[in-house]
This record gives sequence, C-alpha cells and structure tokens, in this order.
Amino acid sequence: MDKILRIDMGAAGGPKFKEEPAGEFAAMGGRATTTTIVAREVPPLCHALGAENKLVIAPGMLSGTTASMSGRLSVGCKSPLTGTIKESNAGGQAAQVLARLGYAAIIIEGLPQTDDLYTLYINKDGVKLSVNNALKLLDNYPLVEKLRSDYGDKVAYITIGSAGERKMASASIACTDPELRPTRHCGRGGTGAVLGSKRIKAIILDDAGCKHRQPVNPEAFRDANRRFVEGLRKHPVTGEGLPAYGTNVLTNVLNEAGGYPTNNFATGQFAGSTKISGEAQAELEIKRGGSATHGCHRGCVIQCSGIYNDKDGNYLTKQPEYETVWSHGGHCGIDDLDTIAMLDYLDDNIGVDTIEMGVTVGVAMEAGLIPFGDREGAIRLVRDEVGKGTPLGRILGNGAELTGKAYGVERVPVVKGQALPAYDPRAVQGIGVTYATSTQGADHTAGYAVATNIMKVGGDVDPLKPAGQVELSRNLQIATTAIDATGMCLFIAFPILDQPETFQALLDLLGSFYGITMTGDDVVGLGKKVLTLERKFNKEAGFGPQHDRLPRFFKNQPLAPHNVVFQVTDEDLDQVFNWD
Amino acid sequence: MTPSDLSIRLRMRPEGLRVFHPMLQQGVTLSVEVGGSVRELLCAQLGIPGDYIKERISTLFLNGRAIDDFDKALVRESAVVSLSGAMPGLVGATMRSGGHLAALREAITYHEDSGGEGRCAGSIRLKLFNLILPELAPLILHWGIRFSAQEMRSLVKKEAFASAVERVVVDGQGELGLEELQCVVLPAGEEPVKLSVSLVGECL
Repeated sequence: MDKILRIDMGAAGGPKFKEEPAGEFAAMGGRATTTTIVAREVPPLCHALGAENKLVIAPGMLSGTTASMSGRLSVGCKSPLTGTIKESNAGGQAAQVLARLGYAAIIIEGLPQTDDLYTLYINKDGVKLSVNNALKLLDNYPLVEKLRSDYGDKVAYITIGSAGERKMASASIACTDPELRPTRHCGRGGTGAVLGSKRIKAIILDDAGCKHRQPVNPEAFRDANRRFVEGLRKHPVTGEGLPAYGTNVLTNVLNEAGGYPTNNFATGQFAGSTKISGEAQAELEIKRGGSATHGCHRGCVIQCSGIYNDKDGNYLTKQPEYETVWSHGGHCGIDDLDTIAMLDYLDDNIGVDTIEMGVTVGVAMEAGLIPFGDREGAIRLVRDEVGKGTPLGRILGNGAELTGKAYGVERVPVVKGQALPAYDPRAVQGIGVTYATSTQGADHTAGYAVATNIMKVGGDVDPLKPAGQVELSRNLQIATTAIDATGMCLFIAFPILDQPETFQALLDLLGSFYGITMTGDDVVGLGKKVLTLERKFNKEAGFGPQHDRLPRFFKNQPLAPHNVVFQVTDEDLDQVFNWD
Repeated sequence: MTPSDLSIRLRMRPEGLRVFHPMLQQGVTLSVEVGGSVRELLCAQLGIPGDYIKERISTLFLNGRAIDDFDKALVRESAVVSLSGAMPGLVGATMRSGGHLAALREAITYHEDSGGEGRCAGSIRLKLFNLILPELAPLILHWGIRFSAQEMRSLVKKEAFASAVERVVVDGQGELGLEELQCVVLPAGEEPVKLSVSLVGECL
C-alpha cells in the first residue's frame, strides 16, 4: 500500500484524480488512516455535504495479505448525521482488493459542478472515472446486477443506493460479499450521503494480476497467522457460538437481563423475543435451505453470517445481525423473522443503516404514525416512503433525531444525533458511558471487549466497583480504536480477551508483516493518538462535555423489570478522556 | 406437582428433541429441592458435571440478574434460572459470570443479601440458551419437565415430535400409542403433566 488516490470532484473542467506516495500511511490503516486524514484536511466547521468535506476510504493494516479476518474497510468523513468526525467500517471483499491494488487510501474531495453521476474503476493499470447517468436512483441490488454486466464477477463493488444519492443522513456505503451481494455496509453516520454528495455511485475494484501483499518476514508471518487462526477456532465464541447462531445469539440473553430495549426503550423485555432469537433464526435458515454459517469475506474463519431464504426457499437477504433484528424487531414490537428479514433487505437495497432506520421506525411508532407491532406498516414506511424519497421518507431517512423533532417525540434514543444500538444503558450502565462519550455518537462498537485486562490499558481496574465503569469504558474505547486501525474484524476481540497467546499472535502478525516489534503499549498508544485527534476535531466542530450525555429520559424513566435508571454522573462521564 | 399429576415417559430418537427447543428457551418448570445454591442445583440435583459448568456455562441469570458467584446465590421457590454459553459482543463479555467487565452491568448483578431459609421441595423455571440448549436439553428432559396437558397436546400434534417417538409409558397405565395418549389419556384442559424423555438406547 504505497500510494494514495486523490480525486477532486470539483476540479475546473471536471473531476480529476492524481496519485500520491502513501508516506506515513503506508504502515497505517483503517480508522487511524481515515481519522488522521480527515482531522488534517477537513475543516471541522464545514458542512458535511459541502465541498470542504472529504470522504476517505482505507483498508486495514493487514488487508490484502493472507492474514485471517483482515478484511474490514474503513470510511471516514465529517458525519452529516452527527456533525462529528466519523469512521464507519464494513466487511466484504473491498478492503482486500483495494489493498492488493496498492492503495493505502482513496480521498474524495470537492463537489462536481454538474448533476452527472460517476463510476470509479480501478485496476492494476490505473484509474478511470466515468459519467454513467443510467445508474441514477438505482438501489444497491439492481445496481450491482447492472454493474456486473459491465465489469463481471471478479471484482469488488462499493456502491450507494437511492438513499445515498438523496443525501439522507442515515445512508450507508455498501460493499459486496464473496457472492457479489451488496450486503456489507459502512452503516453508521451517513457516509453514503457524503459519497452521494460527491456524485460517485459506484467504485469498482479489480485486482486481476495483483498478488497478496508480502510480509517482511514471511515465515514468522505464516507462523503467527497459524497461531491466530488456532486461537479463533478454539474459542467458544468465535469457534462455536458465532458460527452456529451469529450475533443474534444475544437476543435471548439481553432479554433475560432486562436490557433489551422494547417498544422504543419503553421497557427492557420483549414478550416475543424467543420468536426472533438467534436460535430460532438459525433453525429457520437451515430448514429453508439457507445457511446459518457464512463469511462476509474470503479469509474469514469465524463465519458469523448466514443466508436467509424466504418461505419458498429463495434468497431474501443475508442473515440479519442482532442489531438489525432488535431495531426492526423488539424495538418496534415486531416478533416476526420474515418481516425483519424483509426490512433488512430493504435497508441494504435502499442503502441505509439498519440501526438508524429501525430506531427511526420505532420513534415513528411512538409518534403514532403506525402502531407498535405493525409489520406491514414498518415495511411500507421503509419501502414506500424512504425508498421512494417522499417528503415523509426524507424525514425518516434523516434519522431518529430528526423524526423525533418532526413529530414532537420526547423519548428519542440518540447521542450526538446517532441512534442507540440494542443495549439499554439503564441496565448495562457501563455501555451507556461509551454511548455518551464516544467520539462517534452512540455506538456499541466504540468500546469493545478488547483485551484491556491483558494490555493493562490505563492500569489495573477493579471490575467489581461501579467506579470502574468509567475506567473500563475509557480502556475499551482506546483498545477498540487501535483494533479498528488494524482492519481486523472486531470479533477477534473475544479470543484475544481470553487467550493471551492469541493476542500475542495478533501482535506477531503485525510485527512480522512490517518488520517491527509490536507490544501492547504500542497498541494503546495508537488508540490514544487516534482518539485524541477525533476529540480535537469534535471540539473544533463545536462539541463539548454537554454533548457527552445520554438523553434525559434514561435518568428519569425507570426501566422495567429491574426499575433502574442511568446513574453515572456527569462528572464521571467527563473523566473518560482524562489524558486530553 | 402433586402425586396425582399425570406422569408420561417417552423414548425418542435424538432428532425429535429439537421440538422442545422453543419451549426450553422460554423456560420449563422443574420439580427440584429449593433453598440451596445455584451450583448445588446444577451439579448435585440436575447432575450437570462441574467441568461442564466451568467450561461451558459462561453466563447465568437468576431472576433476570447476572450471577458472579454460583456458590453464594440461593435458588428459592419459583426462581427463574437461565443458562447461556459464551456470548459475543461487548455485552456478551459484560454478562459473563465473574468476568473482567462485570462492573459494566452492576445495576443488574445479583447480590445474595440474606441467608438461606432451609431446603424443601419446590419448583423452578429453567431456561436454556444458545450452545447450552442442544447440549443440556437431553439431560433436562430426562430429569423431567412440568407443563400443562394442553401444551402436551400441542406437542403431540407436531409431526417432528410424533415421528421421533418410539415408546410412550404413562405411570399407572403402562405402554400406550401416541394417539391413545392424545385421545384418551390426556385431559382436555390445563391440568399439569410431568414429562420425562429418554433417548433411544437409554432406559425409560
């Protein structure tokens, strides 16, 4: 990854591109790359859909190598949803192909002077930017089908649906999976709207003639990868639970804990939870000839995804993840997997974030647009309103916060304008700390279970003291930021949390590839550096401690069945980033 | 359960046990001795090996609250006990019993703050989730579950269930066919039934 592709969509005479040496970014990746470039080049006070914003696309540090689980693609920009800096990442094939093509990043800047729609094609021989207005307002599935007729099946596609073209703040960027389905999305924060504002509809990555990236120390790299894969396979989460049930395995447990937000965060348990659980979903998928075990990119050994077929045994969508099953399920009072799967398909097709869209529909239900539990009503709102860009659809497509304002709803579960994921912070208060303080808006992946005990990020913490919640959240956010920079799937967190030898194998993978020695301290340092840049950007964009808060209702509306409210004080929240 | 409750014993092929999975996720009632610790319930009463508990049951809820100490938490009458294997995600690690991230869910952690009240015969509701579900289903069904005659009738109507049953024995009435069980023996209403299931090759 020795070069960067910079595309100026607003150049005089029409869009122009140039290649630059990657420099410091050659040994960087993922969130570290996107954040560093955005923080350096984007004015924090710019309009997210204006010419000054830039969209940065970066593979991970090990993408394009033979390292397992190295296929996450990061996208960064100023978010039109939150107004903060944003990094959103996805699986699929794109990161591997982009890295093999030699690019550490693609930077898209400026706004075109016409309404033309562009495709960007990259192969080993160069770059081609073309006008293709025949693609206007095509959604992701038909769009990829059309592109395949031109570019074939041995490429990776990055696309936006109609929501991105309409610059909706919940719009996602889709990456195709190994079967060339647009099912893997950089979902959070409206990155699809930024790509839409640049008028780029599709990026086609063709690595024909390119080889895997070669490590500095091939033997040590092979050995580290072998130990890493062994660690993934022997751990019960990555070796058994995720392959068998996917992430939706969480539904039963969250519901049992009383932390499953139901009917727009009105209560913590959903009566229909077992009907939409991961266990029920896996059984149905297998019964219909789909699959409960499937990888989102080649080289994945966890295989947490699946194939969801309809009642007639025809492909409907990929296995909806836990967050999606919750947002369109329990959050909306819907206990039917077929309805949820249809909504998952619609979200992927239109190109919107499944969390934002599901939470928004729940807020619309709270507002009385349709009743909780209305399956057909939910499909109609997404398919016929958001999907067709009606005035109501444009409100819904711009997320839960705008919808709540438009309809006068008090209980709107957002932080910094971004919808909360599927864990009620009144029950799991430590996660609430991360929701409140994350640089990204409410985000369940911002502080993941990444080996803080092994890495001793910030020193030892007594986990059984409530005060430890702030420390843990801080440590998790630092460690997660570092993992996001590697481009590794976050699900590697579980084996490296429990198995020091697997964590060491990850460090050895990075070290042997780049010819350096990496320690836990290096990882911590990287995480802190990236978070510091993000905090600085946000501060200059107008964000302060008052924005690091959960909505008020979490403090004054007790959550059944445990009747708890969020109790972490504002003073404690302000201590999370205590190294600033 | 009273001594007069209808007691049914089945011998089934293993594939038939999947029919019970939804029920086991929602929770089944077990007759047990209450008043002891969670570990005593699982090991001494239900016969789950200690190694299995240590290696496989990473998350355990008592009345909807996460447990960190299986020896201190006491199982009282009508308690709800839920067993889960290792879970993904931050929240999965957070819910883990005695895990490093337990502080993150302090508000819903189970704390045993009173002494035991003596042991006696009683009942609990047991839920099995994810990897634990297929692994412990045979043992729990062999122990015996209590439900209503109406629920039993619904079960008998399922093809996957009926086709997997090899033998039916009703206490006091000997061996029966499924049709006879449904049409003659099972009460029409919500009367309680105890059902225990053995797999082919095991004694009834």
